[in-house]
Amino acid sequence: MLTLTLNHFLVLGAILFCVGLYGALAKGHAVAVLMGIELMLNSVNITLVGFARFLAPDQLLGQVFAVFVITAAAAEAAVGLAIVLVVYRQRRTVNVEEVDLLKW
Amino acid sequence: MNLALLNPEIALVVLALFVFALDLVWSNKRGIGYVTIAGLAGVAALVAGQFGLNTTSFSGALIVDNFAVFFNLLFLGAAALVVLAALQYGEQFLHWRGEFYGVLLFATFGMMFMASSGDLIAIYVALETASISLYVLAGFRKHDPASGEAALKYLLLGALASAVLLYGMALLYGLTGSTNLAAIGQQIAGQAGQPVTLLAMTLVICGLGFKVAAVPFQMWAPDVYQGAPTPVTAFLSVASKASGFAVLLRLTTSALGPLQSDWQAIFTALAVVTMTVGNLAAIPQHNIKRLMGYSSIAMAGYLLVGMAALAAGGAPSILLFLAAYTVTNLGAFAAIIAFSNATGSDEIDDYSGLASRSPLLALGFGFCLFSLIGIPPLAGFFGKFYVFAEAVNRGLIWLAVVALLNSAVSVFYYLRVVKVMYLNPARDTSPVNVPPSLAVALAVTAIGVVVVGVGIGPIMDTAVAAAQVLR
Amino acid sequence: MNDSPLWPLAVYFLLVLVVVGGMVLISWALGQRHHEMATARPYESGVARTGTARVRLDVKFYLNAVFFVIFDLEAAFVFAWAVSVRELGWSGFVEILIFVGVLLASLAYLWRLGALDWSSARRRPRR
Repeated sequence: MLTLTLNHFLVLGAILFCVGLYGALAKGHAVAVLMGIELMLNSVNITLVGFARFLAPDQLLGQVFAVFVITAAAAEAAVGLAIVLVVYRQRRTVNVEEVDLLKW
Repeated sequence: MNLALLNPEIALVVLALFVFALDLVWSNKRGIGYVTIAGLAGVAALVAGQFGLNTTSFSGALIVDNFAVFFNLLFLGAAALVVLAALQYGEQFLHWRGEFYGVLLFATFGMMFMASSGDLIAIYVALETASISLYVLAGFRKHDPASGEAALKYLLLGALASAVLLYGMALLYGLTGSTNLAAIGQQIAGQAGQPVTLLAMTLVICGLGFKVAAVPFQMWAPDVYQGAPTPVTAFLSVASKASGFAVLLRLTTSALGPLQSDWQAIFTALAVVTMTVGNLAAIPQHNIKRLMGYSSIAMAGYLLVGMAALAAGGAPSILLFLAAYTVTNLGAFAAIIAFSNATGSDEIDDYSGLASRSPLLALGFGFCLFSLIGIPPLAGFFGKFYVFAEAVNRGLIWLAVVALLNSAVSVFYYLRVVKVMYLNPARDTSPVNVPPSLAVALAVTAIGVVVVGVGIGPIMDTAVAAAQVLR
Repeated sequence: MNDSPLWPLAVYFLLVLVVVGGMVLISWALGQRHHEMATARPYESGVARTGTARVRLDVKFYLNAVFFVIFDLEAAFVFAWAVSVRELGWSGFVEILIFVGVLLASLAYLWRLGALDWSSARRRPRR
């Protein structure tokens, strides 16, 4: 019978992290890049919560860390979207390959 | 839990909120700038009062020691000088100036916590506070496409780097079952040599390498330095870099102490490529801010030489280098801001004949450039000297030779700016007016460059006292 | 949690597929077919549609969405305090008061800036 072990969480976290990294590096649209980064942060949350659940169930360290990560990620996303909006107003595009006023 | 240890940080947050509130009701934005500087001086006095304390609080998450005091004073001083330099610049180029000072204070707040955190969670939150504020500051010239582009690039790459750093931190937590740096240091010795330990360490160093603009994570630096408002560039180049090294020093000495041979190898490799790429890429630049961007990458390379040579007691040279570099670079940027205020240009060619147009400005700028080259007895010389000497002491003679060769390359592009200012004929002979606030900033830093150089003894003692707490 | 078997989840998932698929199939088999003018129109309580659903949303919605995300997330910290309110005692209460106080201050700041005004006419341009 299949039971969930720490490895499941870690493998899921690692896969999600790689998917997010690929998205962040391969996508052209700035919002898509932000989504990839968001995926990476969530994979970290899974890893943290998995460790916390299986290594020290009575200590909530990993969960606390995850809550802070979620908060920081939200702040980052809010500022990120605001900057994307400003760039769109200036340039009419947010494709990172086309935003090349400064040498990339 | 001793709340009194947090007094400087609390005071800084209250100051930031006060500046935001003041911005709503007071239309004298220059006055808000002065309030900010006065408040920073008050916070610095509180921090200075903590010198000699060596305690931790909040279950080890907050460390108040000489190391933290040293860095906090560095950040506060840099922030005050940047506000001073931004007074005039802001009137010409920035909207929402009151908010600018407030966000700058938040960034300073985050950096202060970066230097005094003893816990992975606290380090991450502090780093994000500083970084997110800096993303906003980089894009503060809302109607300038270059500024928006700088903010976008900084944000995307910065968020990517912090995700990588975070994954490394999560692995460290999983390996050791703790987020406290000292506890990690005790636990990780048993895990040394495992691939996953190396992976966690590498990820953390990559994430922080971005903060300090080490090659191969430097690609953001030249673009952001060029596009961001110049006072923000100045702040990025000194305070952001120093905060990155503060975290690196804390992490490597306490949490990753047992893995010393591993991270020394990484830092050695990073140092060589960072110095070389930074210096070689600086040579063909024609925009002074971009040049300073590559110059700051090269400086990160010299600092990484110090990290590679880091052993018990090896940190004072890094702290000294950072102090010297902070003073010098802030002076150079004060001059750049003064010039762009008057002429609206950052092109090196436009600096031709500056010596005849504004002799004092050219002299101050030249002073700082000579300090960046490392001409004795200016501050920059002693910074480089102690770092390179440390490398020789640790038997890394070849690394010191590479660093010296790189220094020789850097003479070329710094002197080119001096040559343009002093030898090229001025195309436009009208004098360059330097407003009093910038003249003060330039004078303070130029005097600082000489004082740090001539009075190196007591400053070295302070750096040694600050570095002693690292093991 | 570790020992609970996963097969009921799989059965549940299959059941959902069967029920939903069954409903669609049966109504397709038994239902009547006709093609009047209004057949293909979306049914929305009898109100006739006014245009395509793919309109460009005003950027003002973005601002409200971001405010929501930021202020909503802080609830996580309030919850964390709430579940252990007795252990934390008065010092915890003061801390959460400061926390909420800072949030309120930022809300007041946004309000004064005019960021909460729906019509852009009232937004004060400032220098």
